[in-house]
Amino acid sequence: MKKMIMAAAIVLAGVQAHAIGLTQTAIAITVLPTATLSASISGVQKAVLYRDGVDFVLRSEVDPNAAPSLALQQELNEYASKKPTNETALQLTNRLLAAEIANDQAYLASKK
Amino acid sequence: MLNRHGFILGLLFLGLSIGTHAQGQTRFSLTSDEPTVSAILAEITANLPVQMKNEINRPLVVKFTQTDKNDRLYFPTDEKVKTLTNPAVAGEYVPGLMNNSNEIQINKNFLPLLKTPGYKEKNLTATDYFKKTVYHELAHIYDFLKFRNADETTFYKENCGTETYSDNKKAPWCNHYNRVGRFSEDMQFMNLDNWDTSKESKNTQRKNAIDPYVFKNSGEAFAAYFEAFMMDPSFACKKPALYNYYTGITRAQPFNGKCKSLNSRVYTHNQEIDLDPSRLYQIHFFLAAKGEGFASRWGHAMLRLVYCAPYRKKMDDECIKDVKNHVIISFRANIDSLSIDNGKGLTGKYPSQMFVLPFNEVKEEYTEAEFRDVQSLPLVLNQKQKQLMLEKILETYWDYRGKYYFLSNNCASETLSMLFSVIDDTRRFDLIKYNDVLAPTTPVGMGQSLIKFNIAQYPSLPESQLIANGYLFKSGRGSMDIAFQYLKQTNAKALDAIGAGQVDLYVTKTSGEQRAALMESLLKQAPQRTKGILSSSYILENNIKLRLEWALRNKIAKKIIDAPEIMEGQQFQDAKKLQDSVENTIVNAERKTYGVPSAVDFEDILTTLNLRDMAKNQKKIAEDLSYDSLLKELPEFASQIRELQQNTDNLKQFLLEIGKAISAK
Repeated sequence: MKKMIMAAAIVLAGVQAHAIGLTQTAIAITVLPTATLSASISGVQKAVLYRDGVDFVLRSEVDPNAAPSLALQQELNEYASKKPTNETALQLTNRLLAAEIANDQAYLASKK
Repeated sequence: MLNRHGFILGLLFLGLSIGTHAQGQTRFSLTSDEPTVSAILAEITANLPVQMKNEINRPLVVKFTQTDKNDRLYFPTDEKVKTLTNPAVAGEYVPGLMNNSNEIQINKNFLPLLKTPGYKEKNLTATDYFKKTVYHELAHIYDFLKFRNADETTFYKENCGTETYSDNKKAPWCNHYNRVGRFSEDMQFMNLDNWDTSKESKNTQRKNAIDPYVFKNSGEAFAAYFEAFMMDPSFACKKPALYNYYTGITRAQPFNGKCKSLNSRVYTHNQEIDLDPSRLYQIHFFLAAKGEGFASRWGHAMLRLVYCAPYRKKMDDECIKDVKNHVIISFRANIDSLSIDNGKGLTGKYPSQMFVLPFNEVKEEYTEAEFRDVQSLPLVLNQKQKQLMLEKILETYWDYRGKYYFLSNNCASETLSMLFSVIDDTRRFDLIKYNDVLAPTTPVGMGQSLIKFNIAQYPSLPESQLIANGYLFKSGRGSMDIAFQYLKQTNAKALDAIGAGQVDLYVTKTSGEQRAALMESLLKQAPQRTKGILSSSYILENNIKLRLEWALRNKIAKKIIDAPEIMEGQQFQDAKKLQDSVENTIVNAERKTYGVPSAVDFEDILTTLNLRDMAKNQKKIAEDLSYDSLLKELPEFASQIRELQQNTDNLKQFLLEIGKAISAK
């Protein structure tokens, strides 16, 4: 077995996750090819925006009173504190999601 | 430093004086027939905390005699000391003794060294070694003076039915209470210094200890730390929580009080973070609900450090929402292998280690990966106790590793011990640990106990408010159900057609290609529901990713375990070492100093161990991993790898479509 793939096997097998319960998250972080995605343009944590942002978009489709998760809300607050805006949480989430995804798309296209 | 006294004899002598100490002029004095040491003893007398002098309240004589069976005097730095298997007990390495309440015996070989100006071995002068020895014996004398106070005695009589020190049959936990008569057996001291019983330290991490004797028994630990309290100017920064304890019991603050420049930086998951006390708002008991695995069926107990975001000017309940800035303290079995062995977990073969983790990562682990709810219960701690907790956390991070027993010394008992190292209340500790029917060694039971004994509070709010205010984090299962229902409402028949009429079937029985085709089909059928369809597909796909990775991980792990030539190969060991987490490396490393390192020492550790490079290397290995390489080297898992690859492609595709849909609006 080659050294690189050996390391990959260890990555899959629970890198830095000797502790119970850490394994799944560690793998999720490691294997997801986020490395191919570019750095965030907004300063918002991309993982939170993608996971909780999309979840908020869906919940808003079925419930007009849906609220963002605390993690997403904090990211939105921090963004708004730097660039004040009158947008609602949903409007801001949509805008940041669109910008972030477009940025990643452009980055991926440039790599081809 | 050493075992050098008859405890029972001392107890008998000193017990007679309880409650009789003078409030004004003390009868304490420290003298010797040897003029060589009169000035040193005068200095010790002057520096000794007034509280101790008042409590001891009797003349003490320092006598030089043969204390060591070989009539030798070893310095602590002597290499010979390291080779002694049972020093002091065997009569070796004995610089001092306390055999009765009025006399401190000192190794007579000190005398010629004390008469030699400037004599020292390594960095320890004979004079300082002598002072340490005398302080050590004075600590033992003071230790014997601590008995239960009136409140404790009343409580004991009411609950255990007798005042005697004999075993009590009424309730087993009374036996524990019986023993709490000395500072070194005091509940708070024992929790601060990780003692299970006065004879058994929980700490297996001994290479960086201030002195090997701190593990002998809690009495020796108490005396050894007192030496440092009186003589080491850096003790307040290296052992800040213990320094605070000694300050409390002696009412003295050597070297101008508390640490002025505590290094609160640690490494967590290969990132440096600062456990800055100035931004800490609250500490919560953080409880993950029961999981499906053997080791998680009782829930998981943690602590949540509620830090306020840097932009907040006011520290109030709004800080509870600043989850990105919060930190989780989690005791876990540190499993340095590719699979969990329940037998090892039951018999203490895994180290119990405190991990400092980012809040969002831990929350996601439980709610999204394991579908467990997490409750966050604010602890009833005052400002000083919160500060102490941070100090204890730092001491634990740098100096502690225990043995993890799934059923006894586990996350709940370790967390309880942390809590009662800052809550000075033996009654509540004993009631919870030894007498509470809520079974506090289980995390869920511990949460109930903490509420029952008013150590934690859980707000009486509707569930929606608990969620909105950061006291409850619901399982990600709810999001999955919403997503699936959205797809089902769009076209139930399309789901049935691919055998995915229920959410679990969608997640476990469909292929990535089927899901991608389904998404396209639904979009054509219901373009007005585009955002919902895409969002739902993405959310479900994200969950599927976790399941696929988990399954592949287990297959690869099994392959490696079944192949000793790979497991034991140098390549594997090298790669594994490279992948070892930085915090593990820190804990395992031999350092120059004990306790919490200063900022300068911290930098030195990072440089010496190449920790920053290690963190970079880990990232690089992750980046170098590709599906092509996995397919090439692990062809037997091709179907699982391709499925994972398709899943990744779906995620990208769904996300890009979401971007278009949002932009189109």
